[in-house]
Amino acid sequence: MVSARSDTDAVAAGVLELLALEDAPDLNTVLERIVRAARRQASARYGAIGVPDGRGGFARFVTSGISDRVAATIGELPRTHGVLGALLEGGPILLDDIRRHPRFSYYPAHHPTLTDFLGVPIKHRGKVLGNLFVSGHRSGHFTKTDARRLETLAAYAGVAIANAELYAQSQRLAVVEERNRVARELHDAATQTLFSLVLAARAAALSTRDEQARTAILGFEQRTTLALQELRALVHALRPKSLERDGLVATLADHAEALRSSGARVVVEATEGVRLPLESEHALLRIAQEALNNAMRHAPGSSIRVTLRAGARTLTLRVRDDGPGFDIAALSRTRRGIGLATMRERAQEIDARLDVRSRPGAGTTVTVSVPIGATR
Amino acid sequence: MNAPIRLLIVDDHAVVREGLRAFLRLQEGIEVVGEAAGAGEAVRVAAISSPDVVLLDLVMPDGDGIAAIHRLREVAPGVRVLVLTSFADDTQIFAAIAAGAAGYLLKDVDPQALADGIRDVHAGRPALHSSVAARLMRHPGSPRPAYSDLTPRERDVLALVVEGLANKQIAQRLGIGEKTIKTHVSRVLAKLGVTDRTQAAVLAIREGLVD
Repeated sequence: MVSARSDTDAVAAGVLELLALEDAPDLNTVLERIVRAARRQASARYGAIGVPDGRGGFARFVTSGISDRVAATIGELPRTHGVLGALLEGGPILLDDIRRHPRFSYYPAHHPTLTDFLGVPIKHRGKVLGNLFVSGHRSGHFTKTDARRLETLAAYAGVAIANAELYAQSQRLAVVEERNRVARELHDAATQTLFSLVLAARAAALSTRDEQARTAILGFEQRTTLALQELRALVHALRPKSLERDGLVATLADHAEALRSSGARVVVEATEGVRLPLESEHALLRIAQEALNNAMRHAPGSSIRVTLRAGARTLTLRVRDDGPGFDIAALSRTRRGIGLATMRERAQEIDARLDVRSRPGAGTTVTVSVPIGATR
Repeated sequence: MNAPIRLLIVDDHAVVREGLRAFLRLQEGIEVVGEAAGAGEAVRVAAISSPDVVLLDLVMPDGDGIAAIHRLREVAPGVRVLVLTSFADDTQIFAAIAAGAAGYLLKDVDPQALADGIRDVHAGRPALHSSVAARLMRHPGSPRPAYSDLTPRERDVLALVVEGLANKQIAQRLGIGEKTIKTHVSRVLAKLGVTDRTQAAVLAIREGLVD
């Protein structure tokens, strides 16, 4: 069908638009477009996309075929424990009467009575992000062809949702950085004034012959100095860390903090006071960042532990996640395989050994050992 | 009575210049002969007021403080530049010292220590904030200079240079002539490959050449 194809093309165009992250359209707009395309392609009266919030409800619920007025009278959104929840767990569901499904509970008042039902999970990189479903086929029955069309559209929806999340994450990081910059500048201006007050107070203390006044002024100077020191410490803490200035441990901790602020579960445990030549620290930082990126990309939601331990002769950096793991042998040509090769090269440049361990279902551990003695 | 130290204050914060002026005018032997709010103005004022010491903030909106050190030394030969700035970046400290800054103080320095620092750099002694010295010590990297080439006597002299002593004081401390000390110091500078005492002190601290 020509119209089906052009529908899909329009959806693909919308998703491509969303991929050009600089000018990301609203995710809801793209999802609405996908739902409308789904209704047309499956000749359905109603359609919807649900993106669960992880707490039993839906963070987004985009409908088509139901007027805003009707949607408002229905009020409550569905929960994820019913048939829609079953979709999140498995493959497509094609039913002639949804009300006979074992997990169907009830329709709220004013909800149109749906009988036939076709739903597919929205997946991206193996993870279910939501579901796409339609109801009210012109003939009363959906077919397997309809299901295949819906799966194609669901794949687009997956890309769109995943990228919107990435975009939101990068926006949050940018906001954190900008907020820190502004705070830093405001506080720095205040430190200049406090420093000036300390100087002026000392001048006043030196100028007066009144013993009582001098004592009072010096007390004032002392408290101003304390405020100055506190504020300077704050400004310092707000500065973006740099490897050269702050060293590997502080820079890694800062990076982890930024990732945490965008929702990642990362902890860093490090032996303080170990300094390697800048070149080695640079390579270790890049390896750690690549390993962290991989963990976040391929094991989203897993908890990630970064450790940096100094032994007698070697410094060991380890990045471990408890995610799904993977088969190392099967990935030489993939993007992930290239990432691993880059980490290996970086390790070789500083005479370090890189070891990657992973098995499906058993998480992933990247270990780099760099000799300490040779460098100092 | 020695002539007062002619001082030029360079800081883009008017409030800081005001505080410095208020405090320093009470200091015996220091005379503020000019002020500037930026790097360009500093160079112009230095050219006409011929200061002995420039108190310089490195962070200014109109340009690079390190470049300003070079240019100040061009337009006012013999001038000592004492950096007084907000923060201690390793790169910034080394760049400033390499550009010929005679000292590096931070804007939480005790006022008296600031006045002493101005007198120190004028007398040819380095003035380093304690946290700047600490940063220098922590800095890894760059190959060790030929410390083993220094004679035991030269090492003694270097240790006292790091303490900020002038040749005369070093001579008294070691019980030898000032002229001999002068020779020792120039040999130390040559062996370490540096051009002045501040750089020698920085290198000595950074490389752990002295305790």
